[in-house]
Amino acid sequence: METIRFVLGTLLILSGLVIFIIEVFGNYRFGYVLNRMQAAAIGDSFGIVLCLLGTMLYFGWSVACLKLLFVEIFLWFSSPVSSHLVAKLEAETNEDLAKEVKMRTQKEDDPCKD
Amino acid sequence: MFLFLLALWLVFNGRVTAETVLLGLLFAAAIFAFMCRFMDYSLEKDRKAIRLAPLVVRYFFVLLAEIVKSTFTACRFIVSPTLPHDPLLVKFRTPLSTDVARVTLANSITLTPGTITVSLDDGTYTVHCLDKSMAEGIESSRFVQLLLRMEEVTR
Repeated sequence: METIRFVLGTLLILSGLVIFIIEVFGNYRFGYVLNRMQAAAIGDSFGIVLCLLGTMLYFGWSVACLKLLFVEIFLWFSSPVSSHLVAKLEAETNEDLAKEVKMRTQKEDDPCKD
Repeated sequence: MFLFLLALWLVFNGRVTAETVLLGLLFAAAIFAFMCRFMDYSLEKDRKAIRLAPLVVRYFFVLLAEIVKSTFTACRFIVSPTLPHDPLLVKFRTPLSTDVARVTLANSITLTPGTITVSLDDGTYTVHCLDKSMAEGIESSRFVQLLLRMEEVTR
């Protein structure tokens, strides 16, 4: 039982690490701020969850595990707020936004309209 | 909310003894009184929140599933050397009417890799997507359906 938990926890943390590596790689691969933020969002939301889940498995069913769960929930509430602020700043101050991204307005009644 | 505060206290304390429970009751009551007085909480709202609980749990799992799915999509765009990505800024409206639901949707969209809410202005979302395919059906996603049901329950 102990061994299974150890192996599972290690696997989770390792896959979290892989996702973080992909994130860093993506950060350098994409050239534009908003695209880079998308790459950053990967680790923010899913990589961190995998790492914390792995740590929770190490701790087993205890109070520390619940505390980690709270850390996770707090991160999920706070990280979108900060990335939203950065994105908003970029979108509102960049005058050549149209060069970087295409824009499209979707109507409620006609969702597939281009 | 009172029970939640008490549980939080006990978790942070790390052990359950008569002492911690009594102190926890005291502090939870004090904080709950403060919240009712100054932060617009009430027992009435708590009752609504309890009716909402199953939907919230379901929402959490839907969110998790969406995050896993789009993580793999976004990772594919990063790792693959040939797959071109086509960033897009989408503007759309949702039928959500309460502020809480709107903010929850904006947060969920940002949390999902590949999409970031750039601005939320009176029900009109501006969302940046890493690729066109991620923008498909964004205004009628499972998030929106669940949030609409939550609004109905609390009304």
